[in-house]
Amino acid sequence: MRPEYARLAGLQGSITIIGAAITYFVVTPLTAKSFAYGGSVALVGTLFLSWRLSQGERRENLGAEWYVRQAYRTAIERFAGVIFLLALGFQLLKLAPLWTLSGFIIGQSAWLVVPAWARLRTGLDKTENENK
Amino acid sequence: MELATPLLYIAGALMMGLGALGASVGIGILGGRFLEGAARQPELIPMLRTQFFVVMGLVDAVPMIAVGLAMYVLFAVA
Repeated sequence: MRPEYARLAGLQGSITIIGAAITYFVVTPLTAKSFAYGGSVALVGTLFLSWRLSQGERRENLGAEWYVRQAYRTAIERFAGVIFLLALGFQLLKLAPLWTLSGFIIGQSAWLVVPAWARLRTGLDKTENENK
Repeated sequence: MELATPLLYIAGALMMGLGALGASVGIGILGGRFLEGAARQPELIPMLRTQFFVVMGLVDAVPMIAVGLAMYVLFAVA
């Protein structure tokens, strides 16, 4: 797995575990299960994207259009997958919707935090180098 | 009150639909730029593809959250 995805998956996994532990002790065990399920749905999306990227890396001499096609396909699959998994959680597993959604949103927000943090760090490094 | 439930379904559908629309426009622009970059400098494809997939996940993140909210509205509120 590429380091960018490993960082993201690690952050999503940690957030999910910490959040589920907090809700387990502060609220109820059912809410912890729901929170963990929501976070896991976000994590599955990340792992799926990482797997699709690694599929391309394993093959040689693929053109750019192959990656674009693969990316569009992956976006549709992730979209449908998230809808399916959340609907499954709400309807079949009877999870608490608010907590499932909280876990999912918090897990998904790692996607917004990690690139912003990486950019901030690059900017800070650049400023430090300029000051030297 | 009778009107509230259909309106909630419409709200959920709008959230999912507009989220999908935003994601498709964003990924379309991103794909176009990736192809442009790859055509200009084919030797950079390995670096560009990683960035492409990472930014694709970033573009996808907010519509995914909208999908989650829509599912909440459809299954829990309506």
